[in-house]
Amino acid sequence: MSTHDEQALIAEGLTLSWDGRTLVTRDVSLEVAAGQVVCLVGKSGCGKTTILHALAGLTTPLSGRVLLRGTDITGVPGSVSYMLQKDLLLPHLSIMDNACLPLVIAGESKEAARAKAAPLFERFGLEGTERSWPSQLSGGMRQRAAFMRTYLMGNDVVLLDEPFSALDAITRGEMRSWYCDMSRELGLASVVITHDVDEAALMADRIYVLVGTPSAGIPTEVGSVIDVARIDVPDFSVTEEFLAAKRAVLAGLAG
Amino acid sequence: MAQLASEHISSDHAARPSRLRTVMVPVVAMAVLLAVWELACDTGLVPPFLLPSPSAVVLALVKDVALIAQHSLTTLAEAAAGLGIGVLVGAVFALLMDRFETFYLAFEPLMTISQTIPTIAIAPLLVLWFGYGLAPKVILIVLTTFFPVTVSLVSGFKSVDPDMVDLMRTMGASRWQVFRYVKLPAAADQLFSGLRISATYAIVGAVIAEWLGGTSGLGVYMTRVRKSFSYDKMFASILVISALSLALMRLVDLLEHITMPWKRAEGSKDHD
Repeated sequence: MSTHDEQALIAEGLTLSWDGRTLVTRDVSLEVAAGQVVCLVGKSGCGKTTILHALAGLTTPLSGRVLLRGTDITGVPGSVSYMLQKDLLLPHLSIMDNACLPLVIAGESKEAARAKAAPLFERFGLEGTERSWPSQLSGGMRQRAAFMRTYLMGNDVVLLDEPFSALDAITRGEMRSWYCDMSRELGLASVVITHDVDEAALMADRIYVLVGTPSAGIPTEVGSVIDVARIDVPDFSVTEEFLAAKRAVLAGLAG
Repeated sequence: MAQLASEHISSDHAARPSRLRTVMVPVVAMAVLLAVWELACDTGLVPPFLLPSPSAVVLALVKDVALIAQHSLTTLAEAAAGLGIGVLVGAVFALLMDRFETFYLAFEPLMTISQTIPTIAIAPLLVLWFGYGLAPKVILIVLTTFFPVTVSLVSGFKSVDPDMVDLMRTMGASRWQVFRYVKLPAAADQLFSGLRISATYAIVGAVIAEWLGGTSGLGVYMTRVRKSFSYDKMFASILVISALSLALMRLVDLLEHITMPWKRAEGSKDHD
């Protein structure tokens, strides 16, 4: 379908296990291109997070490999960005220093890191919060700060594990469209886990429907791949494409 | 916005009387207790050789203030030395227990058992082994103060969200960086509650050690005045011991306030 060069991240035949014996996934392959949002949809406990861990290099697969622009990064964390539902901001650092954390960890001086982060506050809707503690911010703002930190990790592949599910419905909608706009603008390749079919149909350029029940001895596999025709609808209202994608995902989940 | 602002005001209104209550209720209770005590002594209901009146205690304190201050300094110095070493030992134990699981498994039960041995029972042994000088007193304080520090630090290290550690790894963080940015700040929070307990143990530990032998210190002063049946002075020294313990606890609070500015922000979210 596409050559390796176009794809930012490719996972080939990932077979994963928690304990080395019970299989969580079998032969899961997926790919995401720059500027693209890919959603992984599946029931609770099907191993979505385990797949994301493998893509992040936090888990070494039993077999299969992860390629970042052709470079094998299987089992090596540090070259793709990773973000969870929890914002995981450190309570003892200001929003500025939280955002700078990846730069400081990479060895940059505090001053250099701050200089790099400062101009981003406006784009991330966080101007004026530089010196605030995380506990002083609302959930949506904290999540935006976490996005900024993720962005400052400097990788153009971003893995998101249920990034919006801790937010209220209105904030969730806003953050979703904000993220899609921003990631396309910056040319990020995003892999997003969600259990929300609507969210997947709204955000994704492509949806991987995962089927399987590892706890019952049925390893998770890619059930179907749905390419969503993206039409720019600014307010994410219900479109034919959305409905078609949603129907396809639901059909895929039903098996 | 307007609605938010009004909510802030109303919550402030609701909080103010309760803050007053939290100060007033204990003060009134204390005053009533002291008044009853004073009355019971003044009317002769309780003879003075059994229980001196609060006013007699204060008088004794004022009369003997120079001597008590001198003894207090000794006790404070012992407590400070013991607490300082205790915190260091406690921190080293906590670090080793966090870093090496075998160490944790080996020492966790031993440490818990060590804390079931009553201080008062082990103190004479320490005097026997280390004499009447500073050493047995400091050792006793170290033994009683390191434990709360170790326990609070270990549970602080363990309180770290494993997802946070994973996130740090995806940033390419080293083990030291994870410790410095995630584990240590998380443990600091709990360390202070342990320190507060250790601070009170330190003064009490010093006094108990002094009871059993020594030439100076509040415990020595207490044994002397008890032998001369000066119970007003004995109560005066108890008062000083309480005051010293409270002061030490306040010092820990102050330290926490200074070193953890983000805690203050959590307490007063209405600022933003």
